[in-house]
Amino acid sequence: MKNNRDKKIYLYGVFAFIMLIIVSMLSTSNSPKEYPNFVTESPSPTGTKALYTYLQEQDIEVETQAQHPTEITSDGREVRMLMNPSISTDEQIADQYKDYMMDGNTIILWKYNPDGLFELETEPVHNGSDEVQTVEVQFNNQPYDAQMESNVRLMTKETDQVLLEDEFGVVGLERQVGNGTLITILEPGWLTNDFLTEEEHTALVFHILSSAEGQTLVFDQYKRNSGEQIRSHFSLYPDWAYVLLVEGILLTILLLWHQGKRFGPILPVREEHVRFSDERIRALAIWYLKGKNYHTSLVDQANFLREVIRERYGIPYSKDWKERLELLDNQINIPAKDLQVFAKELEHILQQENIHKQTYLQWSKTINNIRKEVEKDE
Amino acid sequence: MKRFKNWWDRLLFRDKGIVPTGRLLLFYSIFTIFLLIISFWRFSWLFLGISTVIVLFVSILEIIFIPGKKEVIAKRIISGEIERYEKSTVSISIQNQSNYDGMVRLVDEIPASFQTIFPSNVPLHKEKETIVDYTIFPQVRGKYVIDKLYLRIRGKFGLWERQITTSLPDEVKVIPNLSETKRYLESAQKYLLHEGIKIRKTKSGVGEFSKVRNYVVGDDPRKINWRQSAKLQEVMTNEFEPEHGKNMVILIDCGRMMGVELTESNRLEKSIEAAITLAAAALDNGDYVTVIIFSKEIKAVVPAGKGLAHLNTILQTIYSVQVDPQESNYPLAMQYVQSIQSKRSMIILFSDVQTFIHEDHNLLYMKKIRKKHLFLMMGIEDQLLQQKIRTEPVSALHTMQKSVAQKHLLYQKEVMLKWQKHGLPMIEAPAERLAVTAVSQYIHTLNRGLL
Repeated sequence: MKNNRDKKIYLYGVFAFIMLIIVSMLSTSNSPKEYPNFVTESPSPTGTKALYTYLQEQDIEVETQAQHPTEITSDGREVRMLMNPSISTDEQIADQYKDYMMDGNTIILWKYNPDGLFELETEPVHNGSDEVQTVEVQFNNQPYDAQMESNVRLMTKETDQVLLEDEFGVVGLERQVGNGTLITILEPGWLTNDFLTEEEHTALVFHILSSAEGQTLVFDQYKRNSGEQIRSHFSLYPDWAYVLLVEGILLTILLLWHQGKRFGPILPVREEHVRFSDERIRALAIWYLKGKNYHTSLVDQANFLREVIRERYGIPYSKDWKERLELLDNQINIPAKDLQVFAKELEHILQQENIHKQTYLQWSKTINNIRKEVEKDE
Repeated sequence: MKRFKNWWDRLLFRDKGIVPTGRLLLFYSIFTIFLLIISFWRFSWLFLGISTVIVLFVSILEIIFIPGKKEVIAKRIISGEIERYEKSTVSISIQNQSNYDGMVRLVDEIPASFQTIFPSNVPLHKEKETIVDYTIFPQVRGKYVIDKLYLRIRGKFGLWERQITTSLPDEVKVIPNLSETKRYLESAQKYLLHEGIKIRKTKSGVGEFSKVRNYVVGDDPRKINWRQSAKLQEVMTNEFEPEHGKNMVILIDCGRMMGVELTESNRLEKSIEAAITLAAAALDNGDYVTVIIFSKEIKAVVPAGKGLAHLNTILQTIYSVQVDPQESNYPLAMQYVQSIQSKRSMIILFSDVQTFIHEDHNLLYMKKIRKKHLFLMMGIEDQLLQQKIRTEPVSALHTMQKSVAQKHLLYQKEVMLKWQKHGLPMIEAPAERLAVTAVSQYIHTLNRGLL
């Protein structure tokens, strides 16, 4: 009966668990889809869908490309938008973009700090606070209100044409690269859905994009959408490494299975019921040592030596150490003089209550040596 | 928790299921190297996935050709009674009813003290019975139940193994080693040769008539049987031997200190073997033997009995005695002896001398017992104590241990001497000479007519 009830409770538990899984799955599927920043399909505040669809509706030729920079082909009449790209260490990619510009195309680079990209240099500025500030930006000598997040400003060369600047320095510039042009703007934030209509961003953006008139405007989405990201994960290592990884995992599973499968009974270890006869001696020795009973210990050793001598040479207990050791003379391999000194000092030391550890060890050795001599077979 | 464990076992296919073999691992490694080499030229996830799945699937197809659980019938043949330290053979008969050959290796659920090496890779022919033998060498006495038999069968290619477990409960008694007893029963005189004791039979005037035999030089001429000499035309003499029908009580202590390890087995083991040899000697001599085993309480009792058949009763009673993790209660044992044995008898106590002497009131009981019975205590010499006494004083701890050991030995000698003065002898013998010392003490007592 009890068993049955247990089973029921158990089933309720399983049911509740399954429900929990289903509910959590449903709730996660309702949550907003996440997009990477600056993606043209993204309606999120960080996306650029607003600008993209507006341009499409204005019959401007726009398209989104996501292929690897090495796969870019062009006819020399394109304007490419790079929105906050990561600073790549890959020389090949940088060269590819440069070649692209050499062919007569234009790249508009939107990046908070483009230092290191396309030989651009920046300098840091201190505008007093870390917060986003609304500043006045000059474009063609006309002031526009805009929010500035970047805390660096561009350093210009002589050949560069300044597009935008504020009180701290250059915010946007145009540079000739071969037949093409590189336009750099420090504020990719102006393009996002959230900020496009704030302040006078819209006007600024369209002024900048006006150079693309009559050309195809390409939004470069390389490394932006997730598919590309996975591909990049898998091309991180050479192919053979992935073969080794997959087969290695399988081989490890097989090896663990082969090694770990129980074959035979569980054998209890034999250690608890094993005991040695010196447990009493060990325990007492530690106890004596803690109490520093060196004197008692020396007395015991001397008594034992006395017994050993009595057994071997029949010298009775009634004799004192001096007499006893005198009788031992010529019997053992220790000079009589040493024995006399030993007898005298031993009687002295056995009188002392407090013995130092070193003295104790030294005397133990001496007593042991005599014992060994006495027990030695002729 | 128990249910979880059950589920866990089921999930892991505990004691059943399949296992990859070393050969499969080797093949798979080669396959991996092959794929690795190919990947330098071409790499595709699809190819990698498909080839891996195909290789694993093809290898696992082998399971069809391995004899299954229902097609393999195993039986175990094992003798129910084995002597300690005596090799014995266990036979496993495996009947393969399937149409496929196989190779089998097995593990039996025998205790760890049955030292053995299980046979591996024995061919298992189709539709035939195979007998697999292995030798066991039991180290520890006791009663054991051997239940499960684990088999692993591999097929023709040997890539996978199938594990089968069958329940075959068998009870095995490991009885004490009787080699010393047998040696005594074969020739008592030879057994006691090194002790220098003769079973004296010619002591005149005492004892009972044993037999008539040829007169040899040195025999007492007063014992010549003239009647027989005349009849046989040869000088014959009467032979006497000590009286039969004496009582002997063997007390075996199985308390805490009897579990002490010796170089081979423990003190209790040695004491039991010595006690059985002693019992055999006494029974052979026609005496009555009582055996009492005790620790904190009385554990087992074999009432007085006569004749060698009684030895088996003793053996069956005491073979499974184990060491108790408790201090021994000597007064209780002594009281018990007095209550069941009112006739004058020889009491032999197998125990640990060091424990025994540290209890003062024992002497009081013993003195009382001494008035009626003959008491002898047998102990096993403590090799570790001797070793401790002779260690070099290299550190304070070592020296302390040494001095404590020396003190103990002195005290022991003193107490043993005191007891001896009261007519209560204590004898310490090395483990391997315990039995022979006990028997010689017994013969000695008989020869002197003390009982």
